[in-house]
Amino acid sequence: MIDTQVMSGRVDRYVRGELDDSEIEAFEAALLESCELQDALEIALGLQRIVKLERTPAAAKVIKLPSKAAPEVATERLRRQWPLAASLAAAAVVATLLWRSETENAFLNSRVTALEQPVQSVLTVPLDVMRSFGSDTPDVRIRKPAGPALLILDIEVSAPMAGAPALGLELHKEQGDQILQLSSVPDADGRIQLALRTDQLPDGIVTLRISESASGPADTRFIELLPAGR
Amino acid sequence: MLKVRERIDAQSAELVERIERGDRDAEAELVARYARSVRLILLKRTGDPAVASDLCQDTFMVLIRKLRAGELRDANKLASFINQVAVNLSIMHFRKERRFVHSPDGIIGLNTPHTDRTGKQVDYVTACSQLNSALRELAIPRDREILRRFYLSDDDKDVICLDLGLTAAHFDRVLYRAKQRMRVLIERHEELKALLFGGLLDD
Repeated sequence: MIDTQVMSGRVDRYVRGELDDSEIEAFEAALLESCELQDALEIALGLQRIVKLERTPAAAKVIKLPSKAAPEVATERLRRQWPLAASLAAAAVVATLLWRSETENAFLNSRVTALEQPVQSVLTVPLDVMRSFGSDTPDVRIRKPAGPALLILDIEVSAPMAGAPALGLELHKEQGDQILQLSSVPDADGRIQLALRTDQLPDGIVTLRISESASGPADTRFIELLPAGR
Repeated sequence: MLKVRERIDAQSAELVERIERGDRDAEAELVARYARSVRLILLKRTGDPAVASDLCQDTFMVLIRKLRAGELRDANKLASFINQVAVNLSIMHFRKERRFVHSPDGIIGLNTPHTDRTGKQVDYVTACSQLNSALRELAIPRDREILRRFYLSDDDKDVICLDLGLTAAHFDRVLYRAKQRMRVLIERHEELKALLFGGLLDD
């Protein structure tokens, strides 16, 4: 049984960020096994939160439950790096040719050819794991650059899939028409890079589906593509 | 104390062994046993209930995968292992957040997805009413000033006592009373708990 006063003091120091690294480690390890410490911490965090809310101006004092917004990605000046990006994309696509059928290979060959065409700019967008709330709230909104451009999606794979030997990627238009289907291998950081020519992508919502198998559970991301200019 | 420690270690070892054997019930027990503490740790580290909730889910997914693969060498170190996974994920989260800062060299930035949230809004009038009612029950205004300075401004206890003309014993009593009232408020008002923690600590 932990001494109540000592425990209370330690909890307060933890909440206020006064413990050093080794003390934090020891405290959190103890917390995992002690309901008393958990109760005390919940109360201390609740106190902190409630006084914080009291300080919030009245107009802003609206309590938000978790959801997410879709921030717009600005496209300002972009670096000219299409040879590297195209090589990367071509290498990724070529690697997947080994896994696909004849029909799919023909499609991929045409993609490799298209990707190697000159582009004016390259836009790299990180697409990290988020809780998706459907196409009404896209994970990311991307304004397409003017002129032929390469869009590289730097995709974080969700934790359960990060260790998979290969993942299937499918890109669909909002109405369901498939734009792209290929497989890829997550890198050591659990990320996949997907290169797309923006002039071959529709405006509006596209859906990116990531899965270990066609029939298995999928991680779905919604991407809104905005036309260039505004 | 030693016997309690031994009992916890034995329970942990048994749980780990069952998970390694593919026992799905054991995985559910793992979550039930540790989810609350993991959420609290992540809430403290991130300050955001929604982020903490996401990271908590990721923690257990990663954890279960590692335990199934037999990556925990010493089953007695289960709690430390869980903490390590949670903390590593929170560190990775903050590293990602930094990558989203717009930089002047043309790299595309993205506003941090986890902080730039528009959420479903609880009715404003109800929320304010519950909060104000809770604050009135929590402490008198002067005592709330003590709590604000201690928990938000991180002022030292000695400084607060000096500024407000309090003894250390008085300060301790204020803190103790506030915590007792907070405990009652949270137990009595489920909605208040949901308001404060964004649903993170709801069962």
